[in-house]
Amino acid sequence: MDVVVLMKMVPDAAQKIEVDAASGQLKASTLNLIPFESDEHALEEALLIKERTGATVTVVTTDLPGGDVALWTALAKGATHALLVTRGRPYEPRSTGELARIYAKLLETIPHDLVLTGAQAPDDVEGELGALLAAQLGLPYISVAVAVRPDEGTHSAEVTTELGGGLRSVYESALPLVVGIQTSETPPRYAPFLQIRAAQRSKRTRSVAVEPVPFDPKVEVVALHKPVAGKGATMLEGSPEEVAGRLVEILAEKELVGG
Amino acid sequence: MADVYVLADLERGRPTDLTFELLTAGRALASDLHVPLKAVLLTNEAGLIAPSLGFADGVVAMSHSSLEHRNLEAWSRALLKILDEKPPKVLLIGISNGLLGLPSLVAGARGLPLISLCRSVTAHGEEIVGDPVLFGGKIEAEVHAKGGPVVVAVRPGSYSAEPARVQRTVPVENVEPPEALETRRVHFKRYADLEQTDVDITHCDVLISIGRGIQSQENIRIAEELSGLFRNAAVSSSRPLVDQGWLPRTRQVGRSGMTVKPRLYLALGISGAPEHIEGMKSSETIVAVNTDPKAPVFEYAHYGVVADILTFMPRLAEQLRKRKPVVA
Repeated sequence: MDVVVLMKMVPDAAQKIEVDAASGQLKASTLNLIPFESDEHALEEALLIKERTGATVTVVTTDLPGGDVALWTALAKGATHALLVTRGRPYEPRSTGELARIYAKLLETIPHDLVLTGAQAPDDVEGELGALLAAQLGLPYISVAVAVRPDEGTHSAEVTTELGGGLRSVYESALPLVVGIQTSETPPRYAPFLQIRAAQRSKRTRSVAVEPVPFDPKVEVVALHKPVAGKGATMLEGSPEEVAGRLVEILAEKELVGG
Repeated sequence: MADVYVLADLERGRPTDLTFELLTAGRALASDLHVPLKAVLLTNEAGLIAPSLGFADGVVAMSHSSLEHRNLEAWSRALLKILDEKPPKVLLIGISNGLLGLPSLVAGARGLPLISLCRSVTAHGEEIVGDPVLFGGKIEAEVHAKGGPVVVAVRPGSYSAEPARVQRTVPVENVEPPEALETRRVHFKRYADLEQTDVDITHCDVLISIGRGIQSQENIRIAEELSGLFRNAAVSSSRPLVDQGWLPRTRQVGRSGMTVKPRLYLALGISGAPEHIEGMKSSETIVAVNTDPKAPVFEYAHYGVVADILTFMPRLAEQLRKRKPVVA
């Protein structure tokens, strides 16, 4: 059983994301790229499959800042192989379509029964990587997965998906299959720093250069901007004590707390 | 003349709110383009559902047993046949968890322009313009698509569902299912409900909802203490905390979790990603506390406090202890 995990570097939304007013593009200098959270869950799900079935786990990302560390971390967590796809291009908030084509080409050379990746990234303006890749490769695709249970005997997998509101649905698919992971069955494991350093020194990360893939974008991102502030909240100001006191008064007026 | 299509999102055979929201969006777009609005219905028995889509000028339907549940492979093969036979100008698909990925599968298979994560869609002349919301609501974009058919994936909660809840008999064009449905590789097996052994947050009057700002699992007890000062209250959370295993999935508010409408929703250290907002925006009173004055959550809250929740929560608890809990 060969499992491939595709990890994408995205700007950390917990930090400031600035737009350059002149160009209408993201200020590259202020971007802190981190592995997309659901991709971390995709890796965890792959490692769980490895532990259960002895599968091989190959983790792939591109040469954006932090991509190498993401791969060392994946190796430290237990991934079998790590591939760094060299593109030599900076981060763009609209490259998923191109990435799908690059990975489709790459997967011609890598055995894959299951391809796992995050279900929906915060920059998927032109669609999700997993679904676009599945369309490229002509493979079936299941999204918002919270559990993937492959069966080597029948060469199929049972996939549980999260519909929201406490409802889940379960699908069965023949392999190979591309899965968009929402959340892994258990939280992503922790990789100790020393093991990440060891993975770095082991030189187990392989770089692969891909030829530029002809890609004709069908849509044009005309401008990026900060959300236009609407009416918004009534802001309560003062010391924490004053604000807490004022808030409790408001809650009392609304009969949410007693007098 | 090409139409505006809206794909009906169905859950257990019933159109979801999102279906009606998109019909509202589709109507405005169809008016601008001076073309008819059609609902696309993929199901096992289209005749039963079509009249509930009466806000549209017509329904394009395909019936097949494999289309009963939102099986992405079956639905994409069905949609592709409809797009090939009756290409529209625009196809709107809602981003529900059940349909996530479908716009990409369809657009990817035919090389069609796709604009995803949209909060609005308009026509500028012949050009279709989408306004996606990115990076947890921190950035918005303006994206133009030429040619077509253009596929637009629209976020839930972007349009009002109410105008589109029209029940009437509408003309139905039936499209024969493709043979490809018989050779599909993905099969729906069953629904599974999340075990409800925990408190049901959809029935609470007050939710003390925590996000990344809580910083550590140990700090959750501070929120629990705060919750104890209200009647019929519980601690809920945004997705990252549940994904970390700090709280059970039954406590998650948002698209993948629960949709809640408590009398008071106290959003503590939650930035307000669109997926979270979807699940709580109908709460009666929303109070947000966040260190970032530009956090998107303040756009949806009635009252806002810029503060570190670890400093603020004990102060609030102190003030609440002077009062009696009254929410019953």
